[in-house]
Amino acid sequence: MEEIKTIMSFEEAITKLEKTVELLEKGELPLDELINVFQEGIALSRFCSKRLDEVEKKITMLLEDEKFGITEKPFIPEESDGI
Amino acid sequence: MQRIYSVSEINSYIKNILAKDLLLSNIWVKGEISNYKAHYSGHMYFTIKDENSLLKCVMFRSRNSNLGFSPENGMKVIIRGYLSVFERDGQYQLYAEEMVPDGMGNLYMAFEQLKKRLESEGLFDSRFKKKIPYLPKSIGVVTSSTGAVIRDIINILSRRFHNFELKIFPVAVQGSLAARQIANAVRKFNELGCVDVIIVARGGGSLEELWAFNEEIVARSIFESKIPVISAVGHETDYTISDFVADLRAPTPSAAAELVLPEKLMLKQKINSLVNRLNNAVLKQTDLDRKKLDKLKNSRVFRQPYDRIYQERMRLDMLDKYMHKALLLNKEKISSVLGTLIGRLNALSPLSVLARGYSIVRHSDSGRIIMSAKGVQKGESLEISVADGKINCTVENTELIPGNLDGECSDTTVPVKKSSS
Repeated sequence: MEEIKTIMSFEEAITKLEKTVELLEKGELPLDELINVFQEGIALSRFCSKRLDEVEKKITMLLEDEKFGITEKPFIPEESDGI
Repeated sequence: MQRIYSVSEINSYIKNILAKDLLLSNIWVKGEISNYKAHYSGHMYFTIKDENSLLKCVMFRSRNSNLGFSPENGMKVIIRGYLSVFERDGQYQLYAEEMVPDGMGNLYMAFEQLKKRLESEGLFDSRFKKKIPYLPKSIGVVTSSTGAVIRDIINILSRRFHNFELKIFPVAVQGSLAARQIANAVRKFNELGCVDVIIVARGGGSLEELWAFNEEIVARSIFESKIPVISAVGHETDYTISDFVADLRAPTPSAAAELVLPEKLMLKQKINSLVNRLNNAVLKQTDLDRKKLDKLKNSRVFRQPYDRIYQERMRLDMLDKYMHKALLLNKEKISSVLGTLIGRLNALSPLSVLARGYSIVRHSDSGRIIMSAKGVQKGESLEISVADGKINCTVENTELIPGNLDGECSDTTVPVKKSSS
């Protein structure tokens, strides 16, 4: 239950979380199931929060070279040329 | 004799002839605008002219709303439209469907032709449009590495999310190399597979400056891309072929940045609110369950568990009491009935007859009851039963009462007068 498939997208996860909340808010679940569903909801929210923070801010530029193919290097914004 | 026609018939006839003409039904005309009037209804009325001639024109509001420039007198333009007759005035005129400033005419026609061709090939079909990922892990941008566009995109993404991964594929966005570089960048991103979405971007410019994004090679690279592509070229009013082929058109590069990443803060708030609702829902339900349990615990069964037993015991006692009462009642009734019966029985008893003075006489030997004087002989022994005992005696003689019964019956009890005590 704690394990959320890593192939799940953020959107899928948050949609599922919304459905879970709605299901719980109906208040029709038996207690055992209630706890399971609640735990799943918490796991989904953790997964979503984690997805929001897991990416490091990283801006790179891809440079193509006939000899070396494509290389990636950090991007440093230059002065505007007006375009 | 020749037929005489009305004016309406002639105008209508000419209108039909013009309508049948293939050339006049879709024609490009160039000229200089004069006598321009923008009617308050939104329709435009004007004439176009060259050195020698005038042509009346009308462009309806539905056609001129996306014009992209304001026509004025003296402006040289190229108009596409059809020729028809305004019957009321008996005047033919050009009904303009598209109008571009002259000079851009060739590019404009090329644009229209390519658009039509690619559209008929299905490159703009909505069924080919891929969904833009909601929260892409990595974003690819195909644009100039210098200039305001990439800075704006980075600024907006930083404001919305502050942690994101952006890969820039620098290209020339105008000039003769631009189209090939843009197409190549889109293809390279696909080969590398290192981004979840591609933004193809360029700032505002003239039709010539934006031209690379109207080239077929760019359109095809976007169409073939497995990675969803957002086209963000020029200003809001500029439409390029890339916009039509892309999975999503953003009005400007900044808008593309806003479309590609949601606001992190908003998402965080959404998750928090969902978690709160999750907690509340569970608390509410467990609270309800607890209340239900409390109510059950407080029910009479749990509060006075022996109550039922007491109730039954009392009931039992009552029944017991009733039973005893009933028994007594019955007993009295039975004894009274018994008394009556005994009385009646007594009345019928031979003993009571004896008590009244009667006696029973039997043969001493056989015990047979003597019913008749004829039944005994002199000297026989008889036994006389009386109320309080027996008398043994011997027959001395017998006498018959004359005229009385001469019955022979001998086995029934007949009262016999006691002869002695």
